Amino acid sequence: MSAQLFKWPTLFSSPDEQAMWRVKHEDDPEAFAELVQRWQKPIQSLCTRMVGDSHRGEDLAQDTFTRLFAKRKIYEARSKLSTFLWRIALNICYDELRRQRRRGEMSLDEPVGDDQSLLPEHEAEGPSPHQDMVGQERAAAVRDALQRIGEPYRAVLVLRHYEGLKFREIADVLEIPEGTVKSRMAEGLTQLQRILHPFVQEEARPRPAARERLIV
Amino acid sequence: MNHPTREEMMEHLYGENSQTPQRGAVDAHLRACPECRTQVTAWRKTMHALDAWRLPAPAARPSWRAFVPVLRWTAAAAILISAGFLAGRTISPDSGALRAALLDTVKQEVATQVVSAMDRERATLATELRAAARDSASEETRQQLASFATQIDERRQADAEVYSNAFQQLNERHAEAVSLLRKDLSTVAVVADARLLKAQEQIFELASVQSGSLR
Repeated sequence: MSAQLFKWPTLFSSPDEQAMWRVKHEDDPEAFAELVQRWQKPIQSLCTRMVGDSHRGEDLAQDTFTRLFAKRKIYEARSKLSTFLWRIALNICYDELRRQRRRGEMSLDEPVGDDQSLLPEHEAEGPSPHQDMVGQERAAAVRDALQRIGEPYRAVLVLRHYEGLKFREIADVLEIPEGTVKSRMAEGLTQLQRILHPFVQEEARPRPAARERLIV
Repeated sequence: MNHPTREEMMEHLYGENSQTPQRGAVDAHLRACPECRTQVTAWRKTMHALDAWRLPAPAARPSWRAFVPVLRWTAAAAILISAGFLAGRTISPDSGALRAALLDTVKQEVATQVVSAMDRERATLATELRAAARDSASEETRQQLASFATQIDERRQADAEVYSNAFQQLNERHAEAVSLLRKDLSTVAVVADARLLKAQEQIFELASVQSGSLR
């Protein structure tokens, strides 16, 4: 009876929290598979953007779900699962970046990552080979620029700009004041603005393809 | 002129102040202040540049894994069907009948094998998850037992200290009582001795008085 009563709060929580409740208390594999399916894409995207490599991002996302399962007993239903999950993923990314630094893999002057994670900007419109190449170059420049700014700024930028979290939610994930999140965002954007300056300038000018079209 | 803070600018750029009166104030300020307008424009361009890095949709790993056996069997079925078709075309005079018979057999075979392969995959996954859960649960039990044992040890030690103190106190009291008893006994002995001497003297006196009167 008491067990039935204990289940009542889960009726009023979101599907994520309900699924996590089943994982925590019943080790329900279907509920866990449901969570993985729902969260795999955003978590993999966060990890890829944090480390600048889609293959590592994939591995780190897998590690995130493994750690989520291992830590299921300490999850408290009062907090949002998303906050818990983002925090685990970020910690795993920080660990990976620390390992990379120890191995001396990262160099600020060399491009990082692989080109397979890069998609051209205008793929839906059926880009020309030239546009495709320019798009890939820009994507690589953005990826490298993100790797050159500090991790605290990168985390805020990725969570706000790419994953669409509100500043309040990011503050909860990082356990810092909301004002600090916003100032890190401003600083991160300013640093990126300096690094990406040539590309931003080039974007402002008319594109070669457009000029060619005018001449023809 | 009071410029908006960088934090307010960030809220403005990401539309998080749309429900607040600050939105209008920041808009008005940006119209009037070229310096802030330049900064916001630069940030907007950078944000736009960030959109250039788009990621391909990740492969849904669990579902992809679940379909591996299906894909394998589908490929095997395709090969078998092609082989059967070719064999039928080249060897059998009644190629239509042979093809139909072969197709039915292969279809049934493939369907059975696909179902059993999927069942096996599901069972393996469930076993792995159960084993992981069991490991974790037994680890917890071990930790709880260790903490229980520590608590029992601590309590036993505290009890032993209490008993030892009580025993010591009893011992001291006993020693005190014994010494008092000894003093009392020696006093009684001395008094008894004195009275005995006195009684002897009285007996002697009485005896001498009696012998004198007889004489």
